[in-house]
Amino acid sequence: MTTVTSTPPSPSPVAKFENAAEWWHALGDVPLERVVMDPPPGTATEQDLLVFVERDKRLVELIDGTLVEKPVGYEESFIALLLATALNNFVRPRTLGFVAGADATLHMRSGRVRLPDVSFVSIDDVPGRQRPKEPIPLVPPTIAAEVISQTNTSMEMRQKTKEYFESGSKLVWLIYPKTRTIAVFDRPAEETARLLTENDVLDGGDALPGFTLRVAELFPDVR
Amino acid sequence: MAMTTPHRPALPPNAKYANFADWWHEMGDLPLERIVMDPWIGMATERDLLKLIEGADKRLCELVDGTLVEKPVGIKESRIAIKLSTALSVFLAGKKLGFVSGEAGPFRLRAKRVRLPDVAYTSHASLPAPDSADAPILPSPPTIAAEVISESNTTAEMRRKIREYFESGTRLVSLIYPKTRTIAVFESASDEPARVLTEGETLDAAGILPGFSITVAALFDLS
Repeated sequence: MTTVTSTPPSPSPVAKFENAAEWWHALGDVPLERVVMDPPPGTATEQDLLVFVERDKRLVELIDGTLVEKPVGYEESFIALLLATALNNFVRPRTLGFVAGADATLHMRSGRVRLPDVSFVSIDDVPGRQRPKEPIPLVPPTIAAEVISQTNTSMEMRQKTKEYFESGSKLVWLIYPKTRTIAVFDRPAEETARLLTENDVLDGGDALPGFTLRVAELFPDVR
Repeated sequence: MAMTTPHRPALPPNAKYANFADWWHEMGDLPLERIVMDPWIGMATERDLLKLIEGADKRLCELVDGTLVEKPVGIKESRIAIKLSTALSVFLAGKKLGFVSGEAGPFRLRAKRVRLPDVAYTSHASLPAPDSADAPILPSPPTIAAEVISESNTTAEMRRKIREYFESGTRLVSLIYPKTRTIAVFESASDEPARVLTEGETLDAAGILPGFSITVAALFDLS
């Protein structure tokens, strides 16, 4: 069982970079269109993030003082909701934890704030076994799932996966609608990731024992 | 049926740029390696600029709307710049008209931008006060500015720079292209030069320094 402290770590000092190229790599080489300029890069706070997410309904992540917009799209949302529904159908009757969507803001150990498209937080992973009440709780997404968009970069997803595991995740699912595949990580290393195709079954592993979902169910033909 | 206006979240009032890419285009699509990130973009001052120029690393930077931008440097560019500045110095000797400065000489242009032309001629008459030239940053624009173009200078960047020089009071700007052995001469803030000089021609100072000239061939002769 992962033990998690209820107090968030003090905000890490804002990273300093020699030049914009280094900084851009630290963001995961994301398209520059996704980088928010107001508040200026390097100065954004969790408060700013909440204004974007809650008031303006713009999904942004906080990376070392810079807000970076999450790509959104109809297909991505559709698939994420299918997964969230399947998870909830399994989790709710058994009170195993909490499933949240793409606007769930989670505090990472690195000090960054990430918004996994779908997250399952095991009840064993939260202090007091209660649904977190803070706007940006420091709880690990026991399972974090991301539906990959055109403008997500592989560098970005590598960094995110690493952060999830550093924060206590047990499983990370990267869902690729284009190839109708899912990369399953049970640790950050890419070499050990398993790639599931449409004939495979996704399972909850140690993170959510007993949960299974046919991969094909996430990619129904909607034409 | 009543028409409904789609709800649009109000943007913060100082949101001048939609995202980093917007800002970056306005800066002239600079290579990210040349954009200094410490201090963060938009937050740098003249003091930061002087720290970099005068510091141990002697990093040649310009200050553009609160952002420090590194000037590309190179031996070939430097040799060409020295040729031009030498020719100007020889011409000016004993005339008491003004002075020549090099790539480490900062000029404050309009809107508190600070530029470091590779070669500059400043007439005494253009100075706001007799002791203006004692300040680390000259408070007025160069009368003539010349830039030797490097690989990493972008067209958009140079267009922007030309505009800034002329808006600030500079009367003549030459862009020297070692690769094509040509010189683009600008007499006003325009995207297109007044003329482009090729090897058989002569660069002069069009009414600002009557009698000054150097052949284009001599400028590019690095034997």
